[in-house]
Amino acid sequence: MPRVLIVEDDPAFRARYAAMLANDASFDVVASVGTGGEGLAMLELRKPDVLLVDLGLPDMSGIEVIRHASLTSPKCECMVVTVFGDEEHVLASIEAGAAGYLLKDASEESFLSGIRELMNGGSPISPIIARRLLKRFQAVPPASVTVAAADDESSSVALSDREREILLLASKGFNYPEMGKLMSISPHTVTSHVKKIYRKLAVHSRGEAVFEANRMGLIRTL
Amino acid sequence: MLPRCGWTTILLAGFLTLTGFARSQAPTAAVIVAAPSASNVSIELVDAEFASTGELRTPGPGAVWEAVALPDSWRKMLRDRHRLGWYRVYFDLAVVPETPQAIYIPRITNNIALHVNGLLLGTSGNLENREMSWNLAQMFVVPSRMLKSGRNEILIRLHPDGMLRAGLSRLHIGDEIQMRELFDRRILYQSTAPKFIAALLALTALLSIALWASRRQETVFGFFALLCMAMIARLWHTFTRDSDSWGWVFAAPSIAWMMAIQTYFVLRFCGQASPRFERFIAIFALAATALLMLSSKAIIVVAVFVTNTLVALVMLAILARALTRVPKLENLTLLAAVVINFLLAMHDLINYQEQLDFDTLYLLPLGGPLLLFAVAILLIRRFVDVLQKHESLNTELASRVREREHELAQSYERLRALDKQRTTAEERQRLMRDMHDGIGSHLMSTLALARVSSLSQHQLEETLADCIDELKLTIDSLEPVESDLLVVLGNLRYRLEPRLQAAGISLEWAVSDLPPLAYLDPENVRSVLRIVQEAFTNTLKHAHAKRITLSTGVDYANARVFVRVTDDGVGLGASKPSGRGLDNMKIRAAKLHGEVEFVPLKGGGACVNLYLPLAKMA
Repeated sequence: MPRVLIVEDDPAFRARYAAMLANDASFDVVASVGTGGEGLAMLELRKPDVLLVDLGLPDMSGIEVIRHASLTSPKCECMVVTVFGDEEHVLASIEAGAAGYLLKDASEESFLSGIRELMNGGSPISPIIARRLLKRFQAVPPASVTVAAADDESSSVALSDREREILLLASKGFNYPEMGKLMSISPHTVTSHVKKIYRKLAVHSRGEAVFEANRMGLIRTL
Repeated sequence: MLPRCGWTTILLAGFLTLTGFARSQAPTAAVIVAAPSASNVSIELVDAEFASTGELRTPGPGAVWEAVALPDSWRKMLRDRHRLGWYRVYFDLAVVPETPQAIYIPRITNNIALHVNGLLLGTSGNLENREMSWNLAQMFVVPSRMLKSGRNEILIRLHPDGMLRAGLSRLHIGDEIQMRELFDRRILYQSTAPKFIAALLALTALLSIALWASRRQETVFGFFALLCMAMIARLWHTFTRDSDSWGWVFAAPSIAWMMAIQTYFVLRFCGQASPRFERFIAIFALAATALLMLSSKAIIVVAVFVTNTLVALVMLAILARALTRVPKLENLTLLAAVVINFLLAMHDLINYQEQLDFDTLYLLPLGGPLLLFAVAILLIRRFVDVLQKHESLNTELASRVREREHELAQSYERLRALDKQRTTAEERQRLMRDMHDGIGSHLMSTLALARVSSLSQHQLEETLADCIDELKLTIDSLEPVESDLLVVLGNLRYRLEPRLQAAGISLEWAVSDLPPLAYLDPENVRSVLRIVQEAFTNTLKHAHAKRITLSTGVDYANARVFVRVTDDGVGLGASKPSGRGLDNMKIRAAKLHGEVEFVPLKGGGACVNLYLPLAKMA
């Protein structure tokens, strides 16, 4: 049973999320806190499988919490809950290590299905975000940014042809079942591809950060 | 070379003292008795006898000889200039020198045949065609054999020329080497130098003409060329041997020309043209020329020359005033050259009037280089001035360009700031309008409904959801989509999908690729989104549809793209929303230079077509 940690400063929303998750027997809310600090502490203490985090926390940005979580608890799936699902916030979250995002005004059904999908290895994507990602990866030639063996998941952050195709279709407004049909793969495979793309973006941006830090002499070795 | 020059000077000085001494020693003797015992002694023969026989034959014993002192000017002695005359000079030799002797004669006018001790030694030029010798010193070498100790006789037949003054200068006799030195020096000043000067002037005239031809506005150079040519015309008669040359026509008038042209040149150079005086001097020069061409009588020539001198004095005054107005070195040099040339001309006029020794050199022919020198200085100064001006202009230009660049950069910066301000203001205005017309009015109507408390839970939720949809739409329209309409539509679908699913409506996404639409800025994106969203909302609210299809395509024939939303609902009749909604769609489409049409479908349902141009029309 996935153990969920909620970090949300608005008590009404916090209560709503908790209530929605409690209604579904397949989830277990291990903690529900209002600050980033508490969130980090609970992350250590409770080792959740899913982290739901709001971006506008009183003591720090939700992005910080995500970054910390993805570094210290790689098994934990991070989801950011945003008001508008706008690309700025979503992309920043994904770069920090989030695997998906939920909308605050989502219905209970789509809220839960979102988390469930994420647990099954799939991530949502909007056409605008798909487009942004395409451009983002285009800007980086496939072989130029390779992350050293420290990252055992992948040594390259270049997009595969399939991933590129998925982003292209997503940017045209096709949903996962339609993409699966067009590409003759299951919708589930499509979502897992998207998740992989997100991870690549995170690795990519981490690589950039390392490169940057190296360049500035902040770290000696990887 | 220097020691030799020194020797020459010493020799010359010695010669002068010696002749001075000789003259003072034997001033009265009609016959020279001083005997050149040593080879380096020369004597000047001053006392002679003259007989006007008018015949080529040697005068017989019956000829009448009168005693004359050399130099002998015929005009002074009132002799007939058309009659041949004979001179007889004696000199005594104690011993016949071993070295060749020579007789040197500084001036003869016009030609002579010279006999020594009864033998014809030579002539000064071709006597048949009146070869000109008036300004050409002569030297006759006398072999020792022709001389004898005791009295020797020199007999000279003088051929006068009607148009020249006639006469004979002093004779010098002495060692040939010594005489040649004197003779060479005299020839240099009399004829060689004037020839060189004429050549120099000709070259200068050519250069000046070339300069003037390429810069017509600089008439100064044109006048200087003319001045050079007038001077050449004047010089010509000092060294020509040809008595028939047409150059003689210019000999006298050229003085007037020189003066007139000099005036034009100097006044032009000073930029102080004086039309009245210039006109006067031009008329004078032309009149003098006409007069001198009509008659070459001495009296006319003299009259012209005297008048010329008076005019020249006025000219000098005017030129001096013009040139000293700006006391620059080149102006003063030019003035000095002009004044000196005037003085030389005066000297020559006095010389011509026999007021000086008959031997005296004419000096004006030597004055040309002074003018050339002055003009050279002037040209150099001008050239240097122009160069300096040019250089300073360049520096100034460079600094001006820098200044201008700076100004441009500043104004560009200002423009950019203004542009940014404008863009920001436009953006703010748009957002304001959005909030006012969209979410603001939604919230207001919700508030109004809530106040009359007839708002159900469901209505409240729906209205607030509408508000949030509005907000999302605005936010989505801010994303730069770079002309990609599919992204815009896709994102709308992404937004609407949950609501469609909740309403149990399935959406078929039948889009095909569209060419980029360059005019899709946030404002236009929002308009498109509003129109399509309105079509969906209408279907959602009124059509009771189970299925909606969105398709896109290009209609190249009409240069437009279309977005088609069809449903399988109850058709337009029932689903027709308030007129306002449709009108808004139409107005928005018109703003995009597009069009919206509503088509009822046969089996029920409706179709909304949005047409957008491929390129924005002007």
